[in-house]
Amino acid sequence: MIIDQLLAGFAGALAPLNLVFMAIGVALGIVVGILPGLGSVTALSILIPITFYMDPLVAIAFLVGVNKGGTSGGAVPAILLNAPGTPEAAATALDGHPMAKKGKPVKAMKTALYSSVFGDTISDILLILLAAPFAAFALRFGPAEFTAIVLFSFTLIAGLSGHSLIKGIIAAFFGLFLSTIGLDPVDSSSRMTFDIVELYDGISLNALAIGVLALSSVIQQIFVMRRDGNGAQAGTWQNFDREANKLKPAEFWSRWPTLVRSAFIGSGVGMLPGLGVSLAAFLGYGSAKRASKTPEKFGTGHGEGIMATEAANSAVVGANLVPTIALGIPGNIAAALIIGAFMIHGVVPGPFMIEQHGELIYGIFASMLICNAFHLLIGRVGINIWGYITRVPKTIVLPVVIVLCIVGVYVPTQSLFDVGLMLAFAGLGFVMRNTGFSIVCFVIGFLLGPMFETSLRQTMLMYKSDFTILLSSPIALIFVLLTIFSLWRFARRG
Amino acid sequence: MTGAHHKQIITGASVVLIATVGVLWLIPSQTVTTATGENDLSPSLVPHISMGMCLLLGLLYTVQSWRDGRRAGAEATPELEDSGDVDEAPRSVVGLILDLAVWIASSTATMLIIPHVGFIVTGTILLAGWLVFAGVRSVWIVAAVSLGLPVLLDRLCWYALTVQLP
Repeated sequence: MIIDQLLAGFAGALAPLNLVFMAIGVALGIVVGILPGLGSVTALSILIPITFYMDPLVAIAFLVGVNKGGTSGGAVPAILLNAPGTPEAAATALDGHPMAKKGKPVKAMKTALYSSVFGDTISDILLILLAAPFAAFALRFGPAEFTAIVLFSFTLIAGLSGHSLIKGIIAAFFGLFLSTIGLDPVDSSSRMTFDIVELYDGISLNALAIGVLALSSVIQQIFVMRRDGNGAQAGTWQNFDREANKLKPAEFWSRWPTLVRSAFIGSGVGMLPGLGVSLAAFLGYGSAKRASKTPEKFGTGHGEGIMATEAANSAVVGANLVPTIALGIPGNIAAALIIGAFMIHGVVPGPFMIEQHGELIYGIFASMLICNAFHLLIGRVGINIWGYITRVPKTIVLPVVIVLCIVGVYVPTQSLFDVGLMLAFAGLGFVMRNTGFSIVCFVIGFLLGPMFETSLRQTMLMYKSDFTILLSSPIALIFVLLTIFSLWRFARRG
Repeated sequence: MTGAHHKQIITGASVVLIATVGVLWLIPSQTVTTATGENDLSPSLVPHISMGMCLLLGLLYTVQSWRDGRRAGAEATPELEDSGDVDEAPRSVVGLILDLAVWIASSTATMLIIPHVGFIVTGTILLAGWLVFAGVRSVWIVAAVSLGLPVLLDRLCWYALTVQLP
């Protein structure tokens, strides 16, 4: 039944115009994703208006292509410059940049691309097969279950804090504190805003992430180059070895358990509204490290670290359409924008969508699979182009990134306040890098803070402060047990 | 006690100072401290817990660093060189403060002039300054990059994204 519908979908999706727009969408997504701050969400917001006059299938396929390309594009600056433009790319930088520094930037980018396409494809297949039943299952996740998931996610800090757990925890709590700035999620009273209107919505994640992750790394490298006096000949990778940059299929597929695990983690996270791409990336990385027999290799340029991250974050792209298509609930901001595009074209997302617009939906499913092929092809060609960046001296590339970061933060909100915040957070990130505080833990604390507080307070309100709900709900109980297991395992490893 | 241990103690003390200001002044003065409903939490609870933990852990870290410094003498502990995303060797406190001062000066200047002269002029000055600071000595490269890129980005944002940069 599904096969028949999917074949009919392919017939529509393989129309030449559709193919052209899918390819353009993927290419645009990758290019925009590479620029710090301009991820797939910004690209989708900007490009939706140009789909007004397109056929619905062409329009949605184009936007899906943009979303896919944009999610993986962020890996390029993370690998080449240690300047991740988005929080999820920070996890890619953990191993991607050290691998690039070892003279294997192209291999790192290939690993990221292939893993990304793999994760995305698994996620699309799950979407096609399981959209309806999984969406019904996702409805069983209430505040108590979300609280348990976020609690479990906090155990990531133990694995990502470097050698100093105490500093990692301080960084995470500081991130958590900053996430509480703004209006209270329940009673809307202002918290630490000093009556600055721009802070009512909280600190912009974009400004914080680009500041501490990307810009602080850039200024750190500039200061180091100046101090070491090697600026003039700081070609990025002098020791580029073509042979070392080859990625053999056997080498890539030998780590298939990591790929599959991360793809399922990303798909699971994507199906649950509100958890987001960044959490998937860090969960994928954390689980790969926990499962590895050589966890000490992670963070030193280990290909498995890149695979785990990229497969997980790209797997969110397809899966977050599960609640969108089956229930009309957007899995994240990108899915919310795609819902907007559906509605512009007269399609109301929700339980009756597959029944009423089956031909269109299966056309979109087929387009998503075709988009993955375009993603692989265009991404592979792109690697050759990005490879040229490695030949430009860092003395030129790094100052250029400072200006790109300013533009990247300004464009989505057109707020100079956010630019100022980003510059301030770059200073904070610079200090943290030089005093041994984990920036990744800081960002995780900031990301998980609002989810944790909101779901905890909703749980308390709904269950009249009865915390035993965390033990009586089977799903919550599983995650509570996983949390205890993770902490026990970490403590045992010392 | 080594310079590295001094740096650790200063870092820990700074965390304690920031967290103390947060717990004793910032949070009480800038948040509602009572819950609105019977089963709700106070809006100040999570900020208090997070800053309180920073304070406690900061104190612990400072004491630990001081004790290690006294015990270890001239030998630095491995922790000093570490942390997953610290990619370069740490520098002295004075060097760090000087570098930070350069960044603060550059950022402040950027934020002060950008509303008045716009992105193109600010971008040109900023880029030229950082190119020279990074070690580019060719006048032609500095001129071409610092003049060309801001104009290119400004036009690109307008024509491709319909966003007018300041």
